[in-house]
Amino acid sequence: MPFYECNENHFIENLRRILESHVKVVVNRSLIQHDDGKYGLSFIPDFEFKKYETIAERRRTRSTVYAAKPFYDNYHRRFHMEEEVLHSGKYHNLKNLSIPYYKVEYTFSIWKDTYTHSFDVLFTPGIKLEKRGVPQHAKDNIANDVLIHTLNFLPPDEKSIKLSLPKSVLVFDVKRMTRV
Amino acid sequence: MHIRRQCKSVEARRETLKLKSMPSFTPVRTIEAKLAELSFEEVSSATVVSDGRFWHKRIFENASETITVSDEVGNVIYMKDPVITILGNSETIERIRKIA
Repeated sequence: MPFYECNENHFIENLRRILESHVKVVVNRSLIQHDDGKYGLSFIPDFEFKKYETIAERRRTRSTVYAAKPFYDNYHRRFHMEEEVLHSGKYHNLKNLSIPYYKVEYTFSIWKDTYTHSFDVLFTPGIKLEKRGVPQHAKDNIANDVLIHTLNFLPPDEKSIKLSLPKSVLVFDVKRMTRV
Repeated sequence: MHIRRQCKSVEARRETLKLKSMPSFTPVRTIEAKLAELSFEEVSSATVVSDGRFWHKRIFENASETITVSDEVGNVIYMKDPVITILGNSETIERIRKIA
């Protein structure tokens, strides 16, 4: 069974052509949250990195990222000291901080051919000052309850993770798509 | 009664919305200006990764229509082509197509 990967433009245009020919189509959508280290701070473009500039620094894209100040990563429940390597530009396995994301996949099948469009939507960082306790290993330099930068990852808005499709298109949510 | 009729007309308009997606070589600012002229407002935005590229995806809405503008971010050496996806009426699609 052929399986065709499409970008947004291809997928929507293919779907539009089917709709214009008055063929009923069912679109399957899978939405899975990942945090597998795919998006480290070293590789993201400056546009995205600017959101982390309060707590992280790097010289340029693909260079090592260091903690600009001590902060607590509330999502991964991890404390980072100042100048700690958050993501190495050279050693790709060294990822102390990665961005969680939703993997969204849209699929429809017609005449035994399957067309798919997948994309990842990154979580948005929310950085704020909070008073919190510091873990045992970091207590040498820092007092107990201190005002410290806290990083939270906020899930993207529902509108951003779905494609806007006409009402005539039936969208079924599925857990996983098996490719045969 | 009047409100119910108004709601019905919005619903009816939603039923007849058409789908269209197009790449554009027009700068995003021009597209934004056109959307503002057509009384679309930005309601959501996110960073999306697709085809190994990073995109700034923004969603614009008016009463019944939705337009998504995905603009590539990062240092690219080739010409950027924002992707505009429209769920709207024929008139809106035509107006956007003229500037894209």
